[in-house]
Amino acid sequence: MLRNVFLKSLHDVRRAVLWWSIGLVSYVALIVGMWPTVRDNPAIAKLHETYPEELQAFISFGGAFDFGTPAGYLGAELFSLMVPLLLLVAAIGAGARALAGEEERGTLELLLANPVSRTRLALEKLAALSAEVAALAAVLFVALVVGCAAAGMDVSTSGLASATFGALLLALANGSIAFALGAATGHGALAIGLSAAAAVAAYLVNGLAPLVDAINSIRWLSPFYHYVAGDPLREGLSLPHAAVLVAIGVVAVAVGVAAFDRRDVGVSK
Amino acid sequence: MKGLFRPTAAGSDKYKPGYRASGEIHRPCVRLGKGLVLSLSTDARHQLVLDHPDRHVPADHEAETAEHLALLHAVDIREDFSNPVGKGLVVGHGRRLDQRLRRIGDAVHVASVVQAHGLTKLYGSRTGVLDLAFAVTQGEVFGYLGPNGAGKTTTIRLMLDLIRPTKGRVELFGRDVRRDSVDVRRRLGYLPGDVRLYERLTGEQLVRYFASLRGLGDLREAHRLAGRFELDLDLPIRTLSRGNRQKVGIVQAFMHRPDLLVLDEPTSGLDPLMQQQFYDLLRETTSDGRTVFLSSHVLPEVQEIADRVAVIREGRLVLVESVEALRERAPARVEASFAEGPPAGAFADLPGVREIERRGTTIVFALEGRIDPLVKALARYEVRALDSHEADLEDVFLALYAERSTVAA
Repeated sequence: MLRNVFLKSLHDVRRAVLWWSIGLVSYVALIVGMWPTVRDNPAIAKLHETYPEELQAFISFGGAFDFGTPAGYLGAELFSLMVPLLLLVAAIGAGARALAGEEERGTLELLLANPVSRTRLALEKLAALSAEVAALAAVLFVALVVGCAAAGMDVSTSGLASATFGALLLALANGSIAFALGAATGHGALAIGLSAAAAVAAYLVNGLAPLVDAINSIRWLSPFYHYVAGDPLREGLSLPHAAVLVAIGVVAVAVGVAAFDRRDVGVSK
Repeated sequence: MKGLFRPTAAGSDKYKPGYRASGEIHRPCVRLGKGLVLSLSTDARHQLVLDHPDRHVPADHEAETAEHLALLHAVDIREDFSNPVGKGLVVGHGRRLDQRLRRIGDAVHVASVVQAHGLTKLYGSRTGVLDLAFAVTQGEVFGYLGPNGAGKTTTIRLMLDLIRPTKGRVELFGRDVRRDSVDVRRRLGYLPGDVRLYERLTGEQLVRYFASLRGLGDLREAHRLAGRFELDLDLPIRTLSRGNRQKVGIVQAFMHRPDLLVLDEPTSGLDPLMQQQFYDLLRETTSDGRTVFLSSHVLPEVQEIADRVAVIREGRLVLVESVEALRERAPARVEASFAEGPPAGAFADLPGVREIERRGTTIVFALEGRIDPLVKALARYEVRALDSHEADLEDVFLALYAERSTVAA
């Protein structure tokens, strides 16, 4: 289990992944469990449709806002905010911890006395955090498939897979930013703070874009837009949008790893 | 085993590198042919010894071939031929030895395991270390001595490629630590000054993890070291005391039998018994021809285990010398009590003798060199008591520091 940096890093988070999984499954069970009530009371869907347009813009997930269909319900209740939020929190935390955590705890100094290049160390850490978040996304996906079947919700499995995968890509893009900031600065708190702020800004830009023209023109900058656009629950994954999310992650990692390779490490500042 | 000297011309076996036994110590050497061996003593004297297989070289020995002559000329050691030492001729000694040997040029050279060239690290306007130049020779314990904050840890982190020099460079095994970082670290064992370990692992898990990173399958050495230091590797590291954490650090630094050990204040936290155990481990390490770079702020420690010592102060090297030479340089103290105080200046013209204190009829002398002239001079008066103390390195260092601060001020 401790054969290399990748496996060691997974070993470190095995308990955290377990608890996260329990939380995700419970949350999915709660939301899916409420579906029959929503379905049998058209008034609830009606109530949501009376929400102001501004609010609807935030809680709709791709396509039109229709609280009365299973896909619309899951989009509004899970995929518009809670799923990306939970995966983002996990990914940003893991990204910031990956290198900055070792550095702040002082273990990086001893780790780097071993014959492992900094680039390799960083990439193994990145692989581990990606695997960690992917495991959470997989748990989420399985919980959704099982939950939807149990609650008799008519949602396509490929739609659930696309939406979950999109959320994973969004989380990894932000996790990569946190990872890069941690790698470049050695400060975990700074990495979490800046990348969380960037994620909130991206969420707001995407939500406000339909309402404010000025913001609409920069909507393409928001990773959230590329996550939501294309209506993945109903239409499947949009490859161009997914490619943008991947590109954000790749650029962040490239910059972060290059900075990590060049700077002084392990010096208390 | 890697030789201290090695032919630079590939395939040349004219000068065969190797080790030779001398007591329990294996001495790096070059075989010159015709039974002659040039070897470097690994005791503190750093003598270059020309040996014959019958362990005796006649004092009137003449270099047998033109090659030998050229070689000996290159090291500039002809003048010492009148100095037989039983098992060989001491043909040179002192700290410049490796440079002198390197002048042999194409034939052989002394492998410096660590070489710093104008190594400088500035933190903003604050100086970490400034223009360090030193070489650590294979098989020695190199003591790196200085007060806290003098730049010891900065130097070590530069050697490990954890931080990058502002100017200059450092080579380990003749390779740049930045460019060949991974290869260099393969042959290195490191014990940080403030060792931080993975709290949630056991000692065994940590050792296995690092062994895997090194591709080391055999953990017997690690377990042997743990046993030797009475360390229970099965305990979680978070439950270990400071001393036991230090032992885990020692185990991971030594377990792969690295060619170079870089140890930052290694005995801090160890009880005296374990310190002795650790010193024994260092002696075994160097007797294998492996090298130790050890930082310390404790003089007696360096005095006990180091062959050579470098002293760093405020980021600059103030001295690099063998411990033996330092000791020789240190003046002894001689305290003489007289029935009646001799007149002032009675001992003024004695060579190497300096009056440093006069209390009533007692005089304290600082003595460099032979004591005989002083004893003869003292005998002219009635001596009530005579006491002499061996040279104390502490005095040398205090003097050194005082001297430099005066210069700096």
